[in-house]
Amino acid sequence: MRSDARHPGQESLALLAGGDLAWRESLNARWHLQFCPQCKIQFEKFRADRKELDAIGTSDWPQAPAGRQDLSDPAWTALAAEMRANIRLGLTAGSLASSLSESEDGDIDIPSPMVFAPWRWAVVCGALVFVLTAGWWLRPSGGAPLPVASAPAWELPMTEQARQVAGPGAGLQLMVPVSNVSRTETDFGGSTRSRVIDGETGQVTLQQVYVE
Amino acid sequence: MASQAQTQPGSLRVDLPPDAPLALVSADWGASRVTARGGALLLELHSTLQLKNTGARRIRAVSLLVTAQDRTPGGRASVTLPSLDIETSDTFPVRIDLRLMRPLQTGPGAVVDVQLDGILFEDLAFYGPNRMNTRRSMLAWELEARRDRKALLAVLEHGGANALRNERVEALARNAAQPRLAVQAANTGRATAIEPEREVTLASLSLPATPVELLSGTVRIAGDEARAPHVVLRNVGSKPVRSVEVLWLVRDNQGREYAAGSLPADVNLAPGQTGAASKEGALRFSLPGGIPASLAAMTGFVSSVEFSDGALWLPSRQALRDPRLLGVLPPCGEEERLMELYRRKGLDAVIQQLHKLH
Repeated sequence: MRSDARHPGQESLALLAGGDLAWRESLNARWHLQFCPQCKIQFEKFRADRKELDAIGTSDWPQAPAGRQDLSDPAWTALAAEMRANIRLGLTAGSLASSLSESEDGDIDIPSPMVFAPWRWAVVCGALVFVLTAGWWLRPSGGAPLPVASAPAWELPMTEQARQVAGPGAGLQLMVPVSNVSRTETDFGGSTRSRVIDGETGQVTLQQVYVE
Repeated sequence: MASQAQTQPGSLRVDLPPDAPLALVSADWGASRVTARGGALLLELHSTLQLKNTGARRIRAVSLLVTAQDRTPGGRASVTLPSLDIETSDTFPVRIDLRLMRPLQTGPGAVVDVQLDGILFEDLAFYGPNRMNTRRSMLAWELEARRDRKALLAVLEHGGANALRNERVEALARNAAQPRLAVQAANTGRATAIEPEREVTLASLSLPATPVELLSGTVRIAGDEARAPHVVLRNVGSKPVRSVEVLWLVRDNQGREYAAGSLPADVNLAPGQTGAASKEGALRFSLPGGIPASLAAMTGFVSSVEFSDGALWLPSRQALRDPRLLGVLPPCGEEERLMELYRRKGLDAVIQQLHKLH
């Protein structure tokens, strides 16, 4: 099946099969499945994979510590976005690998996720289980605000006079939300700047602290 | 329009000039906290400002100046949003995440002031006081972004969506495989008494069509620290130069090379003139896990040049594809933004951005 803007993406169908798609997208996708046999087949495959996964059982999964059973909304949003991105990358990498192997035979030009061998689905599902398990295990405590790096990116140099007046650590420090991609640079002039990219909106924020 | 000022109980103030083509719609300081620590105040600023384009031109970048202690090192910061596309009357959020410790306030006035430092428009015109020279950084970002989007659009037009997808996946793989070195400013020069300090001659790398050449240079290296860089530059172009930025590549004892820091310098060079630039600052380098890096050599190259008329020179995308630089230099800002957009939203989102900002 070739990707089409009117069809739900592979990752959306995978999330729908697992009951993890946001309610609005879920409604749209379910409506679409009523009329699209191709997507319906794909969705049923995801659901069958899901059932196989459920049959394996989750007794060996790490259990959450007591009192930390719920993910806060911001944490879940960040985790869901990360899961979605990883699923997309997995599908893309899989389709590229598929494209490469097919083109060597000279038969198919357009990569098709539908020609995945069963073992590839097992790898994708295994990766999904790993992401879910790791996300569950590493999640922050319930009700916490959007996580912010507990340590500043850089301790600013202080003059002795300023240190005496203000105590240690005076001055502005960069704080980078850990849920976003970031890069921190320092120049010989002493200024430090961070580049934070919000992958959901594409917005970039550059923060710089000056010492001169 | 009257001056737009909003002072909060914690004395956090947003103050935009009355004639600015930008208006403050709202300021949410909800997640900010002020805590007394002995004789000092600890302020954690987590704010989202909603700003509105009240001018007639599209906005491509905005920079705000955050001032806490004007005369203290580290008392000023800037928050810049590049890669915008804000039409007239549109609003957009600006996120501020900074931490500040300062003496308990004794005089009147806000604890923290947020002011406009500059706006870059679609036609590259600039508005604002430019106190922190943010015009240069915003213009450099915008020009790099246009260069990189143009190159990606060419890939799309010549090879189709599959070619663009392959290019994005390759860029992601290259970025993930890139060696990283953490860089910190070192406070007082040398931190190690064991490693002897030595003066190292800088290797220079010259990019094609550079208007300023790095003729020679030295840096003092001791263990994981490099300090007091000194470079000699020559204006080989035809226009007077106001400032340059030199980027560093660091090689460790294992022969691995990393991108590591920069030296911005105001040089004022007439065509044909030679001049020097130096800094007393020191940088400390560490490997992942905080292991001190053992420095062996450094290479420098001129990565941008600002002319006296305000125009900028940047290396071409092809020049940055030099095999020596390709696996070492971090991706340019727009390149990284589109990379992350691809990872999160897929190819369609990238194609949409390429067409929208063309």
